[in-house]
Amino acid sequence: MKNINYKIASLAAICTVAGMVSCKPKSVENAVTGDASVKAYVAPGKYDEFYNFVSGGFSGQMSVYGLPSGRLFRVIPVFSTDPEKGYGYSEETKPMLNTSHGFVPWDDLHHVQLSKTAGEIDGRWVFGNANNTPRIARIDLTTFRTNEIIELPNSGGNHSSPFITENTEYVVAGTRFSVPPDDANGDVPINTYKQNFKGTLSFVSVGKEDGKMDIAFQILCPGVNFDLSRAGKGVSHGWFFFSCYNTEQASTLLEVNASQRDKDFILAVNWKKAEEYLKAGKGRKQAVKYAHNVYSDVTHSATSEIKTEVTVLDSKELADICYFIPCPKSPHGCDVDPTGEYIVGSGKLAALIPVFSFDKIQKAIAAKSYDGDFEGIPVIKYESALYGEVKKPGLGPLHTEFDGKGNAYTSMFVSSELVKWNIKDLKVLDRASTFYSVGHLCIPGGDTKTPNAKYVIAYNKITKDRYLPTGPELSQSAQLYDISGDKMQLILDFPTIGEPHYAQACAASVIKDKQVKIFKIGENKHPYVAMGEKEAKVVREGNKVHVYMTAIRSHLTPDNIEGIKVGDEVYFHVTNLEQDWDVPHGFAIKGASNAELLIMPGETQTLKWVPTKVGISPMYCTDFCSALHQEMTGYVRVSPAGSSTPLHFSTGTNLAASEGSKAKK
Amino acid sequence: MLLNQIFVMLNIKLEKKVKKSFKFMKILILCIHLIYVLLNQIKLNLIKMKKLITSSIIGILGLLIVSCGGDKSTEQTAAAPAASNETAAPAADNGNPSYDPERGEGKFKDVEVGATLDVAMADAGTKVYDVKCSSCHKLTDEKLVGPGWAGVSKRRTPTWLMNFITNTNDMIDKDPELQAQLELCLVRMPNQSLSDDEARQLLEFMRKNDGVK
Repeated sequence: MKNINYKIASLAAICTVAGMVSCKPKSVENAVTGDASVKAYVAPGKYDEFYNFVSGGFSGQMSVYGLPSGRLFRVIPVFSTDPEKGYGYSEETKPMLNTSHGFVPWDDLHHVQLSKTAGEIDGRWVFGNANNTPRIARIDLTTFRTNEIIELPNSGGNHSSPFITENTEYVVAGTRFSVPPDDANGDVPINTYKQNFKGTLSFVSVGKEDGKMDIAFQILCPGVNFDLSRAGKGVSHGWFFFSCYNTEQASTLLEVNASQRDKDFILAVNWKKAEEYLKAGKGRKQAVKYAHNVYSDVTHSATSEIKTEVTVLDSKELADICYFIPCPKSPHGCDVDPTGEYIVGSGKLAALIPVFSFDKIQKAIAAKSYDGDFEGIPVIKYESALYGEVKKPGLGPLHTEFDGKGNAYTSMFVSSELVKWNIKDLKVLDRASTFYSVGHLCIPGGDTKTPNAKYVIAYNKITKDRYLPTGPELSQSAQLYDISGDKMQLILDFPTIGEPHYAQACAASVIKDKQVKIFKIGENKHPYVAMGEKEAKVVREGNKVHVYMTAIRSHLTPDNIEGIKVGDEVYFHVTNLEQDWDVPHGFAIKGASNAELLIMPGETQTLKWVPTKVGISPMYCTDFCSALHQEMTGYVRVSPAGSSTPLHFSTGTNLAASEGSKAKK
Repeated sequence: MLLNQIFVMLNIKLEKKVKKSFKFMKILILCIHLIYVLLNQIKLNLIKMKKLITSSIIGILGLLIVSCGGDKSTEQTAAAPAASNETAAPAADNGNPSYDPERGEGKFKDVEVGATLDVAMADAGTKVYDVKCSSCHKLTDEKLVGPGWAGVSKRRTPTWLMNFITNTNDMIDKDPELQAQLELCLVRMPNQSLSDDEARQLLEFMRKNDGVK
């Protein structure tokens, strides 16, 4: 057997050498080694070791995968409507997507952040940002549902978000597009960018117990594009770092005009200092309008409140909050290592990666080692903040995650590779090709104090020849690399929804055992709940009809409804009476112009239906629930507008028409 | 962004390269394929050898531990939640000697009931019945989704009832009469997440329904 092994090894070696000589492993036939499938294999019926929360980009949603299998468990609707789950279609969830612009059914979710305690993932919530109509969402990890969305005023595109401080004190939002403040006259020529456009950084506080979000303060900044951000941790706790590009302050053809300067900035923000100013009343109360939407698992309904005030701290007037650090060529990623000492800027057009030292930044500030100012904010001398540069790391560095063993992993968009380098000596240690054009990358806990560095995942923008083609639009994808050894080893490709931007992963054990399995029916405080079939009824109020309906395997009550008229607004308030895990019921009715409902055990959800045609409309349960699921149906009789058909509802006892009319007499 | 341009340029370059080396790659791929097949055969032989050795070891071990239950993975299959949603044939544990059909299986051992009815408890049970049970069970002997409740407190021991309504899934898997019932109803009784108190109140309500004063 040893002999055979030896033969295999030598054959493999020959094969590898031959492969390397002929061409770079840049095609489909890349060097995936023999044990890759074993490393990514999770047997049927077995759990994955990690949860992976992946942004859905322009789908507006967040997806949940298992690692190392790459199996998709769930797509959580966040900023976009989801007819499958009734999200944004049920009366209860519509307020979640309310904004100061009214109901907005779509957005672009770029980044995810798991809540942290003491710099470690605590598994309570995951946050997501809306890049288009600026918002932050909080998803509860006991239900995997969006529980809260807060809109951000004075913002034009929330990109550098939703990054959080080490105890989830704040989740931040930096505007990507600077715009005139909301209370200023925004009706100005676009070419007055330099005078009229401002950038804002929002610090949104997060309730320690309930996670409730509130805009604690905003910092008014010069008009530039804020791109990404990271909180300091450990030694740099109390600080936040934002990358900025377009310090040229261009408003047109940014591709050229925002790429003029040799260096843009990383903005270091002393948020503890900002808190002091806030306490001292140095903030300006500004009249604004933004929506704050909260979902309750008790009333099973969302409420949307329009708030009208925010406190703004001016970075120009209030000293010692903000400092600019020059960073080469339109920095994108701005990542802080596990110790909190090193801040890695990734100039996406630079041929090097600068690493800044928090200690040196502090000393530079103390010594006022400045290179003048930018719109009133001191600019620290590049050399005074710099720890060192990683030379020739690759082309197009974007983002960096850490393994907690002194190494960093940086994604290279243009040269399509992941590059591992050592933080202390800044030497490149390993490279692995990605297929193709990697954007973000993720190591489980890769932004925490103690990363769980078993894998690194690359999230790619282009898949080209990696999957069976599907017309003009191809799947985007993730690629999983084993990094338990010295070298990265590609072990799995898996497709993703929408476009994957940032993602985070954490040990399954942090989340899996605290799942809500059912909502206790006794605690259901929905105003239209039917506590048992006894309470099922149909009530008419003018042209509004409220159907208090119950669902249980395998019938709806009532399942025969008569006396509905064309033009009525019918509200089906369906209560799922089940109290067992994994038994949702669905509800749909012919001609409904919105979607279905998917109702969890013990929950009440409402579908609005405005019948447009006279006749019989069938309704049914859409989620296969039992052997008699096909029987879980009913009928609604729709009569002409103004007709006198009496309201009648029943289950199991509806009399034939002739007997019915006799009985009524 | 400039990025896009750079990327497009890079792509074009790549494709040219690929075209040039296409012929060579074809031959290379063929080579790799052959080696792959060869490797696989060697691997297969290895696996076969391994299997032979492992199975004989397992055989010997098996003789030593006949009395042990199934391994972990089969247990997991039997308890799979999917079984509770669909009709899936009940995973019969036939010849399960530890199962006591009088007591059922669950946390309750000797549930004692009074000679007379605890009216307050029975009234509380009415509310539980309305919310969690009445959709499927009538109080007469008429079957709706599940059997009617008339006489149930006389047919079953109090302990069996309490165990069944709180440990529904396991009981349906193990109790021969419940399995027979499932064949009639075709809907597995759902676990309605009753608390111990609710279960006891429901039992009193069943007794009331059966005429206990």
